[in-house]
Amino acid sequence: MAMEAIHAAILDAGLRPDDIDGLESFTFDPIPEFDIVRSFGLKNLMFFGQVPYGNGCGAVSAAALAVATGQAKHVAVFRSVKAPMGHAYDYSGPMDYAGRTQAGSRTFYSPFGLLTVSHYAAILAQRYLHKYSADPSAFGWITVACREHGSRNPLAIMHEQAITIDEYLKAPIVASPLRTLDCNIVSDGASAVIVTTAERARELARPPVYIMAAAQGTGPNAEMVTNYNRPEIEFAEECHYLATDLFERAGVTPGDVDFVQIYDHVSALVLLALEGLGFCKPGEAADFVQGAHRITVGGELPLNTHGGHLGEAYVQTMNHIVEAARQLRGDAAVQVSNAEVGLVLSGNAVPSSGLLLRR
Amino acid sequence: MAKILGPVPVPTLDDKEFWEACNRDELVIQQCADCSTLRHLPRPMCPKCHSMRVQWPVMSGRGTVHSFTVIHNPSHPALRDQVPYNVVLVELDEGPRVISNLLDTPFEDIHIGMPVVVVFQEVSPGVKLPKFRKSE
Repeated sequence: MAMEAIHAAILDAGLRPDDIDGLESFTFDPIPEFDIVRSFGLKNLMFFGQVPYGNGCGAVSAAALAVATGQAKHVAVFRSVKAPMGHAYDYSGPMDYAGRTQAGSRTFYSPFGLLTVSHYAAILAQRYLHKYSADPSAFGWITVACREHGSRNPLAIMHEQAITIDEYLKAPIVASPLRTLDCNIVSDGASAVIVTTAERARELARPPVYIMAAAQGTGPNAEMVTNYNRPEIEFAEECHYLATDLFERAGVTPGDVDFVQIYDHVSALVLLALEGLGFCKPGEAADFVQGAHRITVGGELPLNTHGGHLGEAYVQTMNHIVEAARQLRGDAAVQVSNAEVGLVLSGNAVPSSGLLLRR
Repeated sequence: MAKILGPVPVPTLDDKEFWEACNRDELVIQQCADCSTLRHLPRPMCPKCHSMRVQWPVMSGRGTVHSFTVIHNPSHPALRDQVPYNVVLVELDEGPRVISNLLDTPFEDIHIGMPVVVVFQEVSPGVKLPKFRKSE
């Protein structure tokens, strides 16, 4: 899948495999660089790296730094996901992985039965509902919007499978207040983009998409979703910091953004991200998404216009970045009319990264 | 096949004092030995004064439910017979927040702000965990 995705990106750009001299992927990705080199018959990679926590935007950012400093000319950025990724919990033996995952200590969580990202996120989601007296259906509208977009996207796993809010509310609870339909699709999939300088991009086959700004953020007292010792656990600190940096350096405001593609492994965390990124004030995202009118194409802030992780596939936002490029080139399956500026968020409730892109 | 045991802590150099104290029925939290800042999760350095000297004072064991969830999907084979079960985030009276479970409490009674007190439960031979009960 990685080879297919990278090859498709190379051909789309009007390049040849030989033009690729840099590679950037994810620490979670099982494909080693030398497999790519040998498969494409590349002579040499001048630049390669990996980003942690599903940070697709961070991977694009690293590639941009490489081409800007002359360390590479054309960097392929990719992610391929073979389900299930990460921990496989259904093995039969005493669990001894607690505290031994690459993403930090789990030893204060696993022994109490708090085991997966949906479990971790449920604690944040419950606090959000309590603090703002919000209705849990707010989470459902995120899924409804993503599935609506996915249903109209022929590449999506959930193509022609839109859902209603009533169907959402009948879905089984995974970890209250979260339901099965709050959690991302478990899927196989791969996505890739090519990053090069603006000058070179203008000579290539397709209209370029420009990086206005790239930023990363951790916020204080960060963990992997279990950010439970922050003063306000329902506020996405990492989003706040990276968005402040992004908008300042790009010279635009949230009001200038025509669409957002937000890491949606858990619907509830999209609400927190909309607030942390500055699109809604704290506590107001639950009302903002009601009915999904504002967050579907045709509304004021279309969200995950390809379906995202809830409606297209789980490719840790490399698919969100590809979709942002399609929107800005005007060839998306569900096109936002006259889209000029888009924001992508990679990682959510973990050390995260963002991109502001323009056509 | 041997009986599948539940997840147990895997103590590290940073946190073994916490788990050892549980086996003495004491809830301790890491504290800077220089500026007295409490910190959880344990880590090598004080985030305020950057001292690496630590101590482990015993907490009152009292706190309130800051958030919670009721888990229905058994993500580990040992938990298949236990679902649904609750997980609570307890804010200790001293400030730090810890993840635990609330014992002997019907799901519908669990609510944010509920006062709780620690109890120690042996979950595996020689392994005690800090759990909580509703307090008055």
